Amino acid sequence: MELSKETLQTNKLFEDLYDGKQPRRIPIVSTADNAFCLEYAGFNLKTEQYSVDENLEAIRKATADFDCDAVFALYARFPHLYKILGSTNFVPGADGFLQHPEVCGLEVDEYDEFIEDPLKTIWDKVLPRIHKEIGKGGFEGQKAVSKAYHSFYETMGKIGMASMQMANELGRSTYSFVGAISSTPFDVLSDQLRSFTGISADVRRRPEKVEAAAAALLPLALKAGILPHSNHYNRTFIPLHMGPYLREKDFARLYWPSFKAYVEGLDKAGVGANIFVEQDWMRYLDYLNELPQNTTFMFEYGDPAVIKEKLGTRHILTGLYPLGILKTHTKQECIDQAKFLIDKLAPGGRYAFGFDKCLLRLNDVNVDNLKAVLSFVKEYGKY
Amino acid sequence: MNEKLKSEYYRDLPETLEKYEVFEEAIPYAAESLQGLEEMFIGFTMYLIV
Amino acid sequence: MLDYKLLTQTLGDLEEEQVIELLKEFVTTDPSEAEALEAVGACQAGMGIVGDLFEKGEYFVGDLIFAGELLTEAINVLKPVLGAGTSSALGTILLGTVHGDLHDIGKNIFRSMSEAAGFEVVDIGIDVAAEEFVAKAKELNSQIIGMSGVLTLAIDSMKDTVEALRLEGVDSKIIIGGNPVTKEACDLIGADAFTVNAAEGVKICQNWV
Repeated sequence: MELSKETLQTNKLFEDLYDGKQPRRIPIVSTADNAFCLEYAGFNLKTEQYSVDENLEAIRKATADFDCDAVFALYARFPHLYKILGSTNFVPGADGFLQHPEVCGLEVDEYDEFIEDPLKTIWDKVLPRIHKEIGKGGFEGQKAVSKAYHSFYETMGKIGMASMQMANELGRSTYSFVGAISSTPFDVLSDQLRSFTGISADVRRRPEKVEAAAAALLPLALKAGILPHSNHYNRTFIPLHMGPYLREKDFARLYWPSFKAYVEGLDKAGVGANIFVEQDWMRYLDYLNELPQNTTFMFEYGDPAVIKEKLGTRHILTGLYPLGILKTHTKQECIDQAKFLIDKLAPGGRYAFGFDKCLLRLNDVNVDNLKAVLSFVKEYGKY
Repeated sequence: MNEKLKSEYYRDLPETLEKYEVFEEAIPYAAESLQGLEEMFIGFTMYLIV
Repeated sequence: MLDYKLLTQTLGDLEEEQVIELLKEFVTTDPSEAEALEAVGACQAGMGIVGDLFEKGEYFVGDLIFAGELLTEAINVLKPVLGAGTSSALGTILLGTVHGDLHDIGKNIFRSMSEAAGFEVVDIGIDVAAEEFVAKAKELNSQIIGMSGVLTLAIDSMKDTVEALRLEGVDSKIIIGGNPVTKEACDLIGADAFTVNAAEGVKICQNWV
């Protein structure tokens, strides 16, 4: 596809950003959920969210209306796929919005076989528990897996193609903030395999198993985090979960080594990481600083001045804008907050404007405030 | 930390060629059509647990 | 003879093996029910230490979850010597995650910590409709109602639920907890208190009874 002049210019913003050079203005990233776009476009989550085409139409509308530098939505959870699989890890609530109840796919006495061969244990033990249609086994189970595998890549392909097209037509960047998505080995182990409750006990009762299981997951996480189109600009998104819930000595032994090896593995393959630093990571900033140069950190919490001082000369920062005030504060107050953050974080480059959380639902913000802040940043963010 | 994937349920390219009795000389033609799917299957698997 | 202070301290330190060893030894001495209740009290006091250390930033959420597991395990060891005696609870808390929200980790942490503090907790699960809160509140006549939620939409659900409760004349104290709750949200919802910290939430409830 031949890229338009506008898109090439917007791409340049991100190329400079990720190369550690000062771009001509501050790039604006977006991590809105497709559910937000569906609601914004007037669709209903209970019905239209099952159609990939309606999702893409909604994302296109939001991308056209909100002055961001990339395609507006992160469309990473596929409601139709979870239905095909009878999934228990992502379930629509009464209003249709997909939620993530706690699941436990791996029993405590299965650690050894998991450490020995994680992929085999995932298919033999974990997936039949988490996805009920797979659990049926026999023809029904095989059919569910075949349908899901086809649907997954068909959906990804459609999204990839449509995103390129809409970006190019609307002058947005063709680089995605979320080129691939994959969690750290410890988070994979804790979230859906052992569950938060299970892992919290394991960390104290059998740390050596936790350590070995996280290490065993590393090659799988790397394969999932590196897609054919992944590179330094089409980056892998890594949402962090359990780190802040651990004591530092547990973090240092159980979370950090496979996390660091994972980001270094991506780097070795030429793939950049956009890390969503969820919760409060202020006590771990020195660890984060050790990750390969020009890693992006989207912070949810923390003092911008401290973060800038510790990480801002080696890495790239985004996030920290409190999304919640877009609903509760006046337009001027919202703009003032953007100005405050930009003044702290933008000097010298290595900064993209972004929110502290993913924008999930239409009701989370006052849309006029959102639009006002994005327009302000585009103007005020010129270097 | 070992970054190589070893599993009873995964085959790397040489193993795949051996399993399907494909000549080594066929690598340029078989790599994507045979091994590509094997790699994509890992990505799909991980999606189901994150 | 069980050293209750040592039990409290080892539980506060989350030293699982020591806690269980102490209790197992204690059970073999064939203690009276009163002594067994005192042991339960010592464990609960240990959970108080856990809560304090969490508030001070020395313990983290993972430690709270583990503490809840440890307490359950400790009470299970004591069960044979506790008898069927009715220990009087500090008060009753009706607890649930509000409608539209399917998350339960925060709610479960709050439940184990308030049980440890001596409350009887009736947990009615996740995605609980306002009507269900009302029906259960009328049935139990609990002093306190706790509502949990993680999604921002939970704020609206909490508001509906509080309105429904008040409309039906339920006058229990209401505390809301979870990621999206703030002072502003609390005022909007009409709850009596809010918290993003389970340990603090338990303290608020203790002050109410």
